[in-house]
Amino acid sequence: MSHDRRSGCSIGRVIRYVVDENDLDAEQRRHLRECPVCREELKRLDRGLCRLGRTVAEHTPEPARRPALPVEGRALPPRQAPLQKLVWGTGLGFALVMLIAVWAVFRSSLFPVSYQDVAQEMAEEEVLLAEVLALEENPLPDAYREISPEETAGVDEELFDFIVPVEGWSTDQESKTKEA
Amino acid sequence: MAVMQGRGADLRDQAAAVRRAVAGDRDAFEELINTYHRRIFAMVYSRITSRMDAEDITQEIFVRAFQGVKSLRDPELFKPWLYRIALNAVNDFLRKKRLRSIFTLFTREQDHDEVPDPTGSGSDYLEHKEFWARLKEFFSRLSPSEREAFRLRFLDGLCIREIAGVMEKNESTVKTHLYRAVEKFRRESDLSGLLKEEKA
Repeated sequence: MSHDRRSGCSIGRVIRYVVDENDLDAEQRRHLRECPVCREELKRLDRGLCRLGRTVAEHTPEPARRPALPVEGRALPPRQAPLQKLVWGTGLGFALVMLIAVWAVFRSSLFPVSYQDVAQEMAEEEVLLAEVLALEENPLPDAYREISPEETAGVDEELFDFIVPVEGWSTDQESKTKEA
Repeated sequence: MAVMQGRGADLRDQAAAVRRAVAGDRDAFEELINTYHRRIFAMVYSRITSRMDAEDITQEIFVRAFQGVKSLRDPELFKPWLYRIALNAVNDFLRKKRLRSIFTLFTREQDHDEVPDPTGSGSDYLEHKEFWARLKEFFSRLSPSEREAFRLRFLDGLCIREIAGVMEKNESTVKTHLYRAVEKFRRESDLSGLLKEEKA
């Protein structure tokens, strides 16, 4: 739909009429009645909304049972007023906060720590410290200490001298040979 | 004219029934149940799309109304007052359902409430399911106030004054919500294919 603003057509006016026809003055209502464009738009919108209402009704089943009132003479369950709920909720929340605060403040006095526990904890810490110091001295595990170079360096000195002769030694040998 | 006169007489009867119910007449309240229970059921069903839950909630609404009817000062306001109770009951139900869904998030429990009840043949059921899914999708594009005003006006058939009473807002606010919602409905083309044509 193309509304011509000069002739007073307005989709807003059509919608206002659909929502509440009393919102428009007599002049505006007359325009809606006489203007073919506005009339067509109004008809289309009105039809769409009616169809929606009808379709919803068609897709709504009939209730299987009629609501029944509580049996006469029997006391109804008491209804909790919203204010009462709010009071209860606030009270419970406040109590919970107070409980947490009390626990935080008096925790040490409520659950005292014995000297025995402290002594035991210190002894455990000492053992642990000793272990740490031993590791600092020699971080290798016991199995690796057995194969350390100092203890197993059984190098054959004679073979080593044969491969890399010592200078002084060879001179002595030569002089001995000469003397002979 | 005759229809108007009949409707006027109905309204007078209803007003009289409300007055008697406020005075403690149980039979008068039974009359009001007869008048409103289908409408309230339809209102609840269109919001939760589960027949069994809608029946339970409707029952709860009328019990609550029965408990509180004596405190109703203006019998003229019975209808918006009843719809207000209904809306609160639906919102309570949906809130509890959301809370339950948090706990069942990891249990792969299927949400049966979302599936509308089958009516008629298989194709009818699919059409039924698709219609409610599309309508839900359309409503998700409206703000909560626009959605509620639109539903009360065009699905439940309440007038502006009654909607203002139900939503506890003034009439001009309700009209603004309706105006925006209708504007969105006008631009909505997805729904049109699913809406029933007018019978000749």
